[in-house]
Amino acid sequence: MATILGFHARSEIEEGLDNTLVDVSHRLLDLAIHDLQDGEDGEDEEDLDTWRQRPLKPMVQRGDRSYRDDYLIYQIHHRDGGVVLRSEDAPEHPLIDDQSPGFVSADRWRVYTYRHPEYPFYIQVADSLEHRRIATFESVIFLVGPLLAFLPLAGTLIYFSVRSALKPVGRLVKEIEHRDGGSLSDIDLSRMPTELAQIGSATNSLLGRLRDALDAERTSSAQIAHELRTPLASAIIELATAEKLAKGSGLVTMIENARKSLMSLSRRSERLLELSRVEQNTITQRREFNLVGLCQLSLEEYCDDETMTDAFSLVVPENADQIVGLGDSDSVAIMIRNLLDNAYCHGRSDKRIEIRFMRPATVYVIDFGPGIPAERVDELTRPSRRGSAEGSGFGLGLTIVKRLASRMKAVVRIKATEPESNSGCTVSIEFESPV
Amino acid sequence: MKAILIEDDPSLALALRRFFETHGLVLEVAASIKSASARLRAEEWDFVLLDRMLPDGDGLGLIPEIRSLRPSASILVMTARDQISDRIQGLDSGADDYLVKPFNPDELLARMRAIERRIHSQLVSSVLALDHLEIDLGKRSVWCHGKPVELTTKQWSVLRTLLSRPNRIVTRQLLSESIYHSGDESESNTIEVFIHALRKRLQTNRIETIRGIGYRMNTLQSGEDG
Repeated sequence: MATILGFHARSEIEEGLDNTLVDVSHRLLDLAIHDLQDGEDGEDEEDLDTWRQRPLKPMVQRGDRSYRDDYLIYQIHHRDGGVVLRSEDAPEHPLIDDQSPGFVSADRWRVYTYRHPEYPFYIQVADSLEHRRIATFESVIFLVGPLLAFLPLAGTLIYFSVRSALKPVGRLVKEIEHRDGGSLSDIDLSRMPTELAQIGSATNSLLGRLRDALDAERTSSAQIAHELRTPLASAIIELATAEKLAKGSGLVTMIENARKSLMSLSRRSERLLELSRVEQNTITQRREFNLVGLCQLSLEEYCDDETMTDAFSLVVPENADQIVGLGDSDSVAIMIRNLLDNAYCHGRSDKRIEIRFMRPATVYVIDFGPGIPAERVDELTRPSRRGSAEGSGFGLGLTIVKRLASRMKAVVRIKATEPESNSGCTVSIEFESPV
Repeated sequence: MKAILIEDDPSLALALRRFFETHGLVLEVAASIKSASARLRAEEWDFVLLDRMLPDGDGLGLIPEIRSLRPSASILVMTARDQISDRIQGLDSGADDYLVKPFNPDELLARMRAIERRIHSQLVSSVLALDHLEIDLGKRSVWCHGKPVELTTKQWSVLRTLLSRPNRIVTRQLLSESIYHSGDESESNTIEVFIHALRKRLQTNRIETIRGIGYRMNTLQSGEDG
């Protein structure tokens, strides 16, 4: 753009200077002819034809150097002769031989030739090309230069202004990005410009409705759990009491079987509740969690008594602080609990189970029982498929684990067992990690 | 053992009461936070069995009142809320244990006895011997390899809180509350600093870190139960 501006400015300057040459030539020639007609020292008019024989004399008074006259020079020629008048700085010889009216650029000069319409004289007014170049250069510099200096400055100012103006937008975007199932608080609109406040307000309204819906769903889930579990607990306790009171009678076995069935029903209902929660997708938090710590807490929660505690060996790695996953910690705990339960139910009779970890966020639950044949691995993640007729577990556990894993972008791997090897089963979950 | 059950479901309350009676124990019942509060003020209790989903609020809200009225009472939360975050919330609130419904009532009794044994052993003999350590909770003194160890007030608070739930996880929140009064501000890594100091002064690795949750004091000698 600066180049285009420069070329345009140069063209305009050239045109202006050419116009000046034209004006000057017309006025000078008329003046000169008038002077010539008056003659020297006020003498009578002379025949202009004789002037071609007269010696040359300049039109400008000698000694007047109040302005530079070397930018513009002129020669007045007789049509049939040579130079009859010239400016002080003009050469004695003709500037150019060509008498044709119009502009010619020659040597160091831009020459304009003008023929008088009545008299046999023509004038050649010349403008120094060097002068033109300097004038054009200086004009372009003073025109384009400030522009060139100003444009980057303007660009910088615009950039920072726009950036500053868009900061509230960035803040709003960040605030919205940080909202998830565990954080649905309203966005702070106090420092937001009016234009964005409407968007923020609409977002807050949506967050409020989402909060209410999630709260209602969670309350409903908790309520359903409470309504289901409390009567189950009552029934189990009543049967435990009856079992104690019926000791020594033939009813003990029946009561014990009834109690065990109820315990089994209770475990199944827990799994179904978990599956229902997974299907409803109420689990929406996405936070960092320490996988080792969460497994330790889940294990403590799972182990009812010292027999169970002794069955599990949780190997805390040296870099436990760095084993950090990303997701919903409640869901992770459900997955861990299901794996622990499966391992405890399907493992060896001496119930030896190991829990190990690997960076960035993988947990391995290893039992040393009969394991799972390769052809059965896929089947097990379908609901109500049981892994072993000997075990007391259900197929729901692994289904829940896999569905939660897919929600959390975690990967579940079940290592199949070699036939008759009794090498046990290893189930691993690799969680997404912020590391 | 004098125990009160705060539970609004009449059939569960009745079932538990009968179960306790078959074991020679008495169990009183309150069906709401309001009625429980009145009973707690009126009588001494050894055990409080607390449901969370009560008609007039979350049972966890009653725990500070229980601690203030009956500081020697043990609190066991029984609830249908089984999420790990609910459990952490329960532990943060200061409950001694957390049991999810439905549960085996024998397990409930076993946990109550374990808590009772723990407290009794602290009352009868306030000296705990662990490897090269002798910790006298009554006299607030610690001996390491036969030499006395000086602990600051806050270090003692942390140690005492850990020993109040031996072999069980104590959350960071609970430890923080044990050393700071409400309204005091604590830095996020303050508990780590105290734990580090305790490990160093006591020259012990029995204080286990449960990452992201809290800490656990392992007091089991080899071959003992938990």
